[in-house]
Amino acid sequence: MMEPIARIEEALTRLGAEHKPPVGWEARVLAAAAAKPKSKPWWWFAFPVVALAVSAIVLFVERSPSEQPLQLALNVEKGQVAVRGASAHVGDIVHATATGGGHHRVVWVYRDDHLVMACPGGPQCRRDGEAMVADVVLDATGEYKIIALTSSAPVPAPAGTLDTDVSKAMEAGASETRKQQLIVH
Amino acid sequence: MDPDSDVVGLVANGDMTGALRRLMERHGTSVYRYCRDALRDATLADDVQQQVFIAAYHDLPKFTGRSTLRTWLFAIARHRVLDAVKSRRRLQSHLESTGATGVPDPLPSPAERIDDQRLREALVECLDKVREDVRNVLLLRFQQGFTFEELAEIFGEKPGTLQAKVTRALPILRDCIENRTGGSL
Repeated sequence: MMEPIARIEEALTRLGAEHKPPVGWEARVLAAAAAKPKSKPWWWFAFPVVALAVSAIVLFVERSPSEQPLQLALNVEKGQVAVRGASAHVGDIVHATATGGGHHRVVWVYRDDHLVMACPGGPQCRRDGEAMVADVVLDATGEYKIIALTSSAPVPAPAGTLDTDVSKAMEAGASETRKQQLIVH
Repeated sequence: MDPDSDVVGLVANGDMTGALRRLMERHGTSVYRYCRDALRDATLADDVQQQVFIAAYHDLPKFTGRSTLRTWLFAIARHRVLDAVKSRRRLQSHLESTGATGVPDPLPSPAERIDDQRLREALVECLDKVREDVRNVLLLRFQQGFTFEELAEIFGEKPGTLQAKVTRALPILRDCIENRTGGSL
C-alpha cells in the first residue's frame, strides 16, 4: 500500500489531467501574435502635450459631471408598483440607477455571471439628468448581478463574463465599483 | 540538450510563426493545466494561457538558452498567473462582499481509506488553502514534473528553499485532506 504522502504526490501528478484548452485557442494566439502595432506618425509624439493642454482646459471649463462617489441603486417594478429590494420575479423590470463617479461610467448586468446587458449603448439604457439608468427586463430566473464602474479613461467593452470583464476594466483604470445582487424567482 | 532546440532553430531562421506553432503544440495543454489549477477559473486560465504564448512569441528572440525552453516558458506562465491572481484580488477588494460562498465541508465519514476520487476532490480544495507561492511550487513540481533545479530558475530561489517548502506543505495537505474527508490516506 502506498504511503500517504506518496499518494498525495501521485494525485498532484494527475491533477487536472482532464483539462484541455478550449478549441481554437491556437488560432487566437496566432492572430494576436500576428497583429503588428501600427507605426506612429510624427505628430503622435506631440499628442501627449496637446492632450494634456486640452484636458486642463476641459477640466477648467467643465468639471466632472459629479464629484460625488459612484452610487448604484435598484428599483424593482412589479406591475405598476416600484419597490426596493433584493428579490424579484420573472416579468418584473429593474431600474438600475448609477449616479456620481467620474467622466466614464458604465452599468453592466449579468445573469448567472453572463452578460445580459451593457450601458451605455443598449436600447434599454437612458439618462435621467446626471444619472445613468439601465432598465432591465427580468425574463429568466437566476442570480442577477448589476455592476457600476467609473473611470477617468474609457472602460473596455465587456466580453461576456463578469470576473473577466471587471478585471479588464480595473486593469484599464476603473477606480470605483459598485455591485448589487438580485435573485429572480 | 534542450528537447525544444528545434524551436530555437526556427527562431534563428526567422520563422517565428513556425516556432510559436511548435511551442503551442508541445506545451499548450500543460501550460493550460497549470494555469487552470493555479487559478481555479477556466475562463481566466484560457486568457492567461493565451497571454503566455503571445508573450513567448514576442520574447523568443531574447531567449538566451540559460535554461530549457520549457522552463523559460513556465517562468512566463508563473508570472502571468501571479499577475492574474493580483488583479483578481484587487477586483475582489473592490467588489462588495456577497457573503460566504465557500463549499461546505462534507460530513466526515467513518475513518476509512480515502478513495482516489475523494482524494482528488479534497486535494483541489486543500490546495486552495495553501499559500499562493507554495501552490505554484507544488503544481510545477508534481503536475509538471520540474526538478528543484529547474524550479529554482523559474522562481529565482534556491533549490533547497523550494524543496523545504514542498516538504513542509505535503503534511499540511495530508492533514487538510483527512480532515475534509474524515478518512485516512
